[in-house]
Amino acid sequence: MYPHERSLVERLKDKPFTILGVNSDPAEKYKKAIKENNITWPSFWDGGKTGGPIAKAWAVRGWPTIYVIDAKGVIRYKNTRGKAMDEAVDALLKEMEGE
Amino acid sequence: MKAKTLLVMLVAATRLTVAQTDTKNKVADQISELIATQDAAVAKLMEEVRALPREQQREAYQKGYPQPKDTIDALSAIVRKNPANEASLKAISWMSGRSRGRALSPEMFAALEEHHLNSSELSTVVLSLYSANSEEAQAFLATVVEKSEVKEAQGSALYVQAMQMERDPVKAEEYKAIVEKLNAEHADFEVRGRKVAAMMKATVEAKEKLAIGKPAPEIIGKDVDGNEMKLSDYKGKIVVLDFWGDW
Repeated sequence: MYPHERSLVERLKDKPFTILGVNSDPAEKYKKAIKENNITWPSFWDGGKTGGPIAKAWAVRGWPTIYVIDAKGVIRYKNTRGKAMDEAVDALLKEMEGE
Repeated sequence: MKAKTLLVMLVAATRLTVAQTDTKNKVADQISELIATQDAAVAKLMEEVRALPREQQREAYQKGYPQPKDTIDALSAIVRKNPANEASLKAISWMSGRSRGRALSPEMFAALEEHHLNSSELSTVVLSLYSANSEEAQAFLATVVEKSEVKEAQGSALYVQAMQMERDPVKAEEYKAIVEKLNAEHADFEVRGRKVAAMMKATVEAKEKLAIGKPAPEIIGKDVDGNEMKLSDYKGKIVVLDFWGDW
């Protein structure tokens, strides 16, 4: 999971794109994960447990859960992973360039 | 002569009643014994397992678990012969509880529909059916919703129907209709002390708000160091919002 996301962030570093995490680990564990996995993108910290306020507001029942949101703030894809996630992001970038 | 006939009839009737009561009690005893034997075997295993070192417990439990198949076969046979007996409901309830509803044959559902639809114990059986997706189970749940006079059983059946549909996108509309019915008619229905109708409604509404094509709700939160962050800070960028954890 992390290597794929790292490479996506790396590949699109000059594009209007970010991964935004919502992390549900206890603080110490989360900090350790950031360090060990070289996580460069920002994350909300959701209170240290699953079922935190952000996860609740977004009706998240399973982890990981992924939403892809376009530049205007509209939800465009749900639970796309791996290659599908890359394709979704690329499609949205292309759409932006076309406008 | 007349009096004698009456007496004979009376004696015969009494004998019949006694005989019926005897059979009834015998059935109940047989069922109780079968259940008690199997439950005792499980309890004995649990005791042995608990005496083992922790890392061996799971394997020992799985290996030694006394499969309930024989008990289920025996109980099913009794229910088939005595579908109306109150103890048959107990037998069905036990079988269903041990198999999440999967061990119930079509005849068991027929017995429930014909003889136990208005029993106050019915909701226990209904609630154990959340993994039972056979046609008979589905039809049975629909019958309980439609015809049972026990409100608790009706609520349970609607709840189980909803649970079975929850993750099926094809049945999203049907699911929504059931949640609405639960809210309208069974707002006080509880599962493990929680009023489920309102909870399910909140989930439905949240999901609609979060559908593809809808504006992403604002998130105002903090990073792990306490710095404030907002989702709208990233407007103008494509955002992969990733609910994650390291486990």
